[in-house]
Amino acid sequence: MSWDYYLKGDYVIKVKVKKHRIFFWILLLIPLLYFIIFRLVVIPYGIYISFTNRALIGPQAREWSFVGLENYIKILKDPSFYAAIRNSFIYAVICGLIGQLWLGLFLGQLIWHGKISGGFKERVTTLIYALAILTWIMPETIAGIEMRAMFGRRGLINKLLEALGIGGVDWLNLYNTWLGIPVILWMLILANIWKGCSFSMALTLAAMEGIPREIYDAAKIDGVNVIQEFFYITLPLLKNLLPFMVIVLFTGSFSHFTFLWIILGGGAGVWKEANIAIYSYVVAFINYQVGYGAAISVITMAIYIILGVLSLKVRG
Amino acid sequence: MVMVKVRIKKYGFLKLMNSIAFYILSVLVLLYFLTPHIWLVNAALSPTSKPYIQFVRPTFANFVKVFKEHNFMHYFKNSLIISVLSTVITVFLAIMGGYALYRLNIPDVVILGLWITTFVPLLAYIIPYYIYFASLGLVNTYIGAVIILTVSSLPYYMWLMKNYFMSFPKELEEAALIDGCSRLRILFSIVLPLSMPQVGLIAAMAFNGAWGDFLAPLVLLTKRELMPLSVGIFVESARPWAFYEPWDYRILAAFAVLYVIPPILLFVYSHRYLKGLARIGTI
Repeated sequence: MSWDYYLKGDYVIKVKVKKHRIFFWILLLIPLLYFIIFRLVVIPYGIYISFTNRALIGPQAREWSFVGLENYIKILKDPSFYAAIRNSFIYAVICGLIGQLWLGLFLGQLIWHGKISGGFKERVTTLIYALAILTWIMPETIAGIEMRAMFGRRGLINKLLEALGIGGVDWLNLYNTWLGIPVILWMLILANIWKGCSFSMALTLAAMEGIPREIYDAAKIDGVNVIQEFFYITLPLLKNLLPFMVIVLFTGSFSHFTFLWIILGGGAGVWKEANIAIYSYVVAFINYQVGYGAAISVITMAIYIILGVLSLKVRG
Repeated sequence: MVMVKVRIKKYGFLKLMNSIAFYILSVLVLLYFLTPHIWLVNAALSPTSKPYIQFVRPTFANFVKVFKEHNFMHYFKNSLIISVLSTVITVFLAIMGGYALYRLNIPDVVILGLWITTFVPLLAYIIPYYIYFASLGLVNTYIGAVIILTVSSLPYYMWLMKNYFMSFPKELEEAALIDGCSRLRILFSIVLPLSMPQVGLIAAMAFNGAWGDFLAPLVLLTKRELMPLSVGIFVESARPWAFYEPWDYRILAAFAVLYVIPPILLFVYSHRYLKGLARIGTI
């Protein structure tokens, strides 16, 4: 039982307030139990499966046994796993830290420039904004189809090259390395920059609304161009936002499944070393080695939980 | 009073260059974003299946085919069932949890701790999920997919709701309480009507997430009768005999154009609120 005190004239009125704490605990318990049963339980269950040699189908699906750390030892000896995790890191670093971040910042700047200029420029940038957001909210499957149509053997880019008199290249089957990274991975990176740069653009724009407009007006009188505006005004003012954006973009790309799965054509013949996500899916659902796949998932989970803690720290 | 005429230097040449640079960049950016979408619409209207832009007489034959031969409405119905169910459950649980968190003054650390587990993408969970749900008999049911989709960002939505409730003045509920209103009635007839914008935003986000999700139905719904559009479009346009291109692009594009309409409509409705959300995310 708790009491609230109100001041009324010269008197203090003491009022009994029912807190109904039990009602609220029940309200909280329903979503919490739902979450625990269907999400938190899965984490120890995944770790448990990773200690077995379970298969998805066949005799080992019923009669499996504990193998201890065997799956993890297998991971340490698996060259495909190393390739997959290396490609994941390259993909996430180049997409998140370089491509999406800078392109998004630049687009935010461009749109902001149009917005403060007004008139026809504002209309042009509104159109850009709408298109960028459309690209972002589009389901990843559809964006994947579009990107496959761009980079595929008979895709738009090859069509363009043929028109210029250069023979087409089968971009999505090219494993030669350029700068130490397979060309096919470069194509995936380009595709993901196209899909994901709108998020950092939206964040940049939201943050820019907080920057006093007078700064830009003053710059405009001094005849500053878009690029100078970006490097000398926007970037220094957005400094605090950058670490958060970097982590969000990195985690978004690190185990990207749907988008890459579609671009690579899906199915059993997919390039399984593209990404840690694709590798674990192929191992578990195409090669049917559930135990081994679960071990890879546990490692992915651990990486993500570290990144999650880091993002909370950065966020403050 | 003395009037001083100030002449602002216009920098005529620089200004012109600035404008030219702006328009060149704008056109490049527009082309960059637009080309793939133009391809999609063009492929859907094209009579040949070549994956490049080729402006020939547009036909609606692909759309007719999608409806008549490929059973679009069936997949659409499945998608709608899954998305609407997950939206309703998400909103319901987010309101309950958010309201309780707000009233019980539970520190943010707890909910952020839960939030970290949702930071992990679904793919890291999907293998144990499959075995877990197989033992519960939830594989190849709508409920299984709906559970995965609703649980994935529940703590985040609860946290958003809680933050929204915190902006209400406390006197609002106290007044109702003194008038003898029950707690449940306060929630339904005072708090909820006031928080409709936020509920709408969460509903839009949950619907969009469920509508676009590919992995959960891919793993859990393997029967054609249960497949939603996200997986169904690939099954319907598959060309198992083809060597290189695994899908028939005409059918796929026609499906895709119809498939992206609901997210776009949702966005047009909710983009005003999304801007506010981006701001919350940055602070």
